[in-house]
Amino acid sequence: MTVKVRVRHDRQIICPLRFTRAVTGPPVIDAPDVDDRGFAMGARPGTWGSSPARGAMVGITEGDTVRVKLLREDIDATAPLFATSTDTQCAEVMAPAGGGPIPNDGIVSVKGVRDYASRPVCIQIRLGSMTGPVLGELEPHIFQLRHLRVVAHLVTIRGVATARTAQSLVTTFQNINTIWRPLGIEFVYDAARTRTENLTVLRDGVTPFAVAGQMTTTMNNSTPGHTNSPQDWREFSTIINTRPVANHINVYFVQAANEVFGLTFDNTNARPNGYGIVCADNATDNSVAHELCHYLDNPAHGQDAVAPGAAHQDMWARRRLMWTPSPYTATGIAHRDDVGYGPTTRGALITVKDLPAAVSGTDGETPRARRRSLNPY
Amino acid sequence: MATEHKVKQGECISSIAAQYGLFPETIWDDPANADLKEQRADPNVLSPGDVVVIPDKRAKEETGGTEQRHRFRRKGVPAMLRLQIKRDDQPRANVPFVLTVDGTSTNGTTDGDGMVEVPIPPGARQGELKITEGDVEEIYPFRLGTLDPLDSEEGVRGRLRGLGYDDSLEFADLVREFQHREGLDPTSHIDEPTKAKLREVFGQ
Amino acid sequence: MSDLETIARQAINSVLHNVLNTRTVDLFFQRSPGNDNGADRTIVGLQYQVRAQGFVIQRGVTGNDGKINMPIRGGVSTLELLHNGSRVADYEVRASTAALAPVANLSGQKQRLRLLGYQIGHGGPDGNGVDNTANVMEFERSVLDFQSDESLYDDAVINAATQNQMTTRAGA
Repeated sequence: MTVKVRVRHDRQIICPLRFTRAVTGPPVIDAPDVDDRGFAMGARPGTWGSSPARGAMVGITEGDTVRVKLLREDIDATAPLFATSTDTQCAEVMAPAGGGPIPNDGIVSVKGVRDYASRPVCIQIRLGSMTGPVLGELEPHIFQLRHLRVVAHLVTIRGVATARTAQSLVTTFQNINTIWRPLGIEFVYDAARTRTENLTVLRDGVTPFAVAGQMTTTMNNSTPGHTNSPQDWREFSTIINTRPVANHINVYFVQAANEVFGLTFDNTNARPNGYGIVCADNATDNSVAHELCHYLDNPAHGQDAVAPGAAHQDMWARRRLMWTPSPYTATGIAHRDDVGYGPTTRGALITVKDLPAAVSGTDGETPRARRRSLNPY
Repeated sequence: MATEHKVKQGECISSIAAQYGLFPETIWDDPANADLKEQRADPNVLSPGDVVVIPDKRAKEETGGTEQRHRFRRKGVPAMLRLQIKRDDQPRANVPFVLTVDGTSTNGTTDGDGMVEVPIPPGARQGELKITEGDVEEIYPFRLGTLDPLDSEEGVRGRLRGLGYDDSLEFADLVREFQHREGLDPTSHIDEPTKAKLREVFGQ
Repeated sequence: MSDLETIARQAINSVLHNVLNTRTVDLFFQRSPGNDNGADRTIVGLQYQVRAQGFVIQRGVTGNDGKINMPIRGGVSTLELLHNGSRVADYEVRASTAALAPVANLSGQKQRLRLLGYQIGHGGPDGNGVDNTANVMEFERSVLDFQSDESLYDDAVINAATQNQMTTRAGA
């Protein structure tokens, strides 16, 4: 169907295509979220290849084939389009066969063939044939899969236990691994190693937990800068220093927490204050995945303002796993109230691009997590 | 005495014939030009400096009774195409073109004002001018005919269409747009200043 | 009704002439939106032809600047993208000489983003997304894209800094 153009001021730029996630609804392991935030590519870390693409980035575990969706924003629905890779040893187009024509649903399958350091690759969308002019691109990054060991602690506080079980956590970690797949990171959860912990008093051996079943904290406002009392982290600190298993990520599950769904210190916090993750029963799988992202060196929340106090309310912020409120409050604006994961459901995008701080604060969540995953315990 | 005509840039047999009031074949087929004809092959492609011999006009005798009416019909005298090609009001000056009129093609170069001046058969109906520059081929198709007078709506529309205005507008809006662009009083009807300006910028 | 222009035939000795003036606009085909004269982003080697009033009035291939100097005759021309000489995509192109709306207005913001190639959707009377409707997903997405591309804070709030940058990039 013809695209209508009304040129003003004697010039018009036409950019025909963009990429997006292949599905809507809960995360699906072979349909990663695509980092389509703008067309600038940000700062790629030294080990990543830098292609000439301008557009979206997506992460793929080495050996996986994933689906992405091509949107025809400013070109005929019937124009024949073909997908090619600039380096088939890094990434390869698996469907449509022969690169095209890409079907009406816009789905393209890309295989992450091999994680070659510093080797650039992009998927190019061409008009008419495999050698036609390039109309748009997607830059995939291929990651060799890393396995990070997790041990779960089921915590009872003053006689009130978490409702979770070793078995229920199997599904939880499967869902978490679906979210983390684009980063080439898999959390290995062994149900048989799950521990149970029974707590009644703080590390001082004397002060009881304030409320049965609950991790009670007093945090000074929102920013995890941990400055000054009256912050009281003692219950959190007690929990995360309870029988941690060496060479594992320790995740503690409690029935309730008064201020959060989950709380994390990463391993730069030396013991005795310690490091680890606590999640309450009302933390969704998405929230546990969020805490693991904090653990892997992403301290900030996506909505954190460059200008403090001014939080994002836009659709990108809400699509990011690291955006604080989950579930969030409806605004009456449809594309903010469902960012593709369901009503008022936070998304699961772990950012691939590292955009400037002036744009989005701390970013590049994928490269930060990949770096920390070399030394996570 | 036959005249010798030295060919200038942009001339062809047709234009030279028109200048001297002869038919093109009269010149081209004249034995005095046999060498040139063999050398150049295409009467529309002559080189500056070529010498064309212009034969004398011959008297033609026709017998007929006196005190009777005789009708003579002139064989088709060529008409002239004089067309200024502009793009965004800038003349397409000094560019090579190919003009095709009713199937016959002529090469030429526009002058410093973007003007194309080529003789055409008087009954020619349709034409196309092509200008190729690098990878871009500009094509200007047009009909050949007569323009209505300047004080008619059709005459004004026809001229404004040629000048690049959007002819689908309501007449009053169209006139006002022209008046606005030319710095005239936007009266929306064809007054004397508007007619004069239109005659000036369009050429007739 | 629009038709081919009529050129008046002249007598041999006439000094009268006709004018055939074509208005053009510049279309830039790019792999990413924006007008920062940097970064290799143009679509090169795009074969095209332009049709107006049923006749082909231009043919070409885009060069390194991705540009098509698009002639518009009779108010609307159709740009046809070609592959191996066959038409594969159409753009119906009109031009407007009116000034852009003020950048403080929603429609002014949409006009500028659309001019820069940001993908604001296809609602509105011109079918190109330029309208007064608030809370359109494609528009918010484009504002965020623009802010990100321009190193502005990406919160979809079109504050003074964002407005100024829109005006700077759009050239008006």
